[in-house]
Amino acid sequence: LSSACTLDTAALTKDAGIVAGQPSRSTGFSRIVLRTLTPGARVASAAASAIERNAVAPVARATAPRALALLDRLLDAPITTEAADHIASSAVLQVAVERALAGPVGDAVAESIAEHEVIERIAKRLAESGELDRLVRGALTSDATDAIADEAVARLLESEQLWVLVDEIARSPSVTAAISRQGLGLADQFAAIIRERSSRADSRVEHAAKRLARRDRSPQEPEPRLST
Amino acid sequence: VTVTASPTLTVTEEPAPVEYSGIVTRGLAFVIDAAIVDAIAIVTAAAVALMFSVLPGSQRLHGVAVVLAGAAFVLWCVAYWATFWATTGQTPGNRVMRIRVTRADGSHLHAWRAVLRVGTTVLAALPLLLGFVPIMLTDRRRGLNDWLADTVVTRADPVTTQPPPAGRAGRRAPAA
Repeated sequence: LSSACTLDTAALTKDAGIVAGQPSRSTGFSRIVLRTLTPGARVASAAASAIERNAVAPVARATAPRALALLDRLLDAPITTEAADHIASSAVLQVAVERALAGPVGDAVAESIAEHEVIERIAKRLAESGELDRLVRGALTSDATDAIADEAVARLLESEQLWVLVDEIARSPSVTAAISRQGLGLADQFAAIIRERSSRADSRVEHAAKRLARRDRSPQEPEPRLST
Repeated sequence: VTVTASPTLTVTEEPAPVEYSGIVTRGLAFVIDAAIVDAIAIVTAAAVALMFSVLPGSQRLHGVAVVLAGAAFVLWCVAYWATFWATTGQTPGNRVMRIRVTRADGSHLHAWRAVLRVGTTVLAALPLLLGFVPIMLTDRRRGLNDWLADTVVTRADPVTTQPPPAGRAGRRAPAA
């Protein structure tokens, strides 16, 4: 009430053509009206302040708990839930949300989400619960992902830049060195196998040669004499 | 390693076991070397023949060219084997097969001994390769060429500590 009275006084002052800090250009009638109404407005403002302080505030303090209890009952009532369902299923809520997000409210919400790291918290919670893995697996195994991957690979293979890149990589010193190392490794493995087998063959050949030499050196047994 | 607690500290190290190379391993090394020698000789001969083919009158010197080419090939072979034996003790074929040619006492070959070994190897090969038969019958796996040049052929890589199966692995040198 007091603020309303203050506004009324300001409006009257404005209507009377009085601007603060500037010389008055009002007419004589306006001065008379102003001089008549200003004290009244002051009295009305003081009265409104007194009423607010002495009457409204105690009533508000006394009725606030009851109002809150009434609100709790209202929220717990089934009809409130039904009403919420009706609102949620109606197009009105969708339109209201869309209009709110399209306006400055959307920007404020986005700033608030970024400021309070809401997305990071959600991602962390999803990762910890394993839900993120399930979502990623589901996305990777979906048919849509396969189609996108096939299309991407097809486009990649059609591009000339890919083959230029492949040529550059194939000519790079690190790749050629790796291929050379692999080739040498294969040759070394092959040589090791040959060495192992030749060593076994050495022993076998010598064993056979020595058996043959012993057989040749063995003394001839005397032939039995024939008796007549 | 033996350490005796005496006024004078004596440390005796056992010599590393020596494994002598057999006839199959040496034969494979020779095959690799022969392939290298022949490949280089063929490429060189082809290049020389191509150069001389454009010279006028080169056809008249065909017989001389053959003699010279033969002499060059013999010289090339002697130089190939003798150089590798006298320097590293390993030809490329020996390196692939991990064997080394040394003197009987383990020291390196001098150049003249390397040349001598080339010659004795030819001598051992002349009587239907019979000069190499002693490799299969002697403890140190020495052929006629090794005896004449006083050399041995040993494994170049370190010998594994695990004893090989009997009758299959290479022979170790007898304890000195």
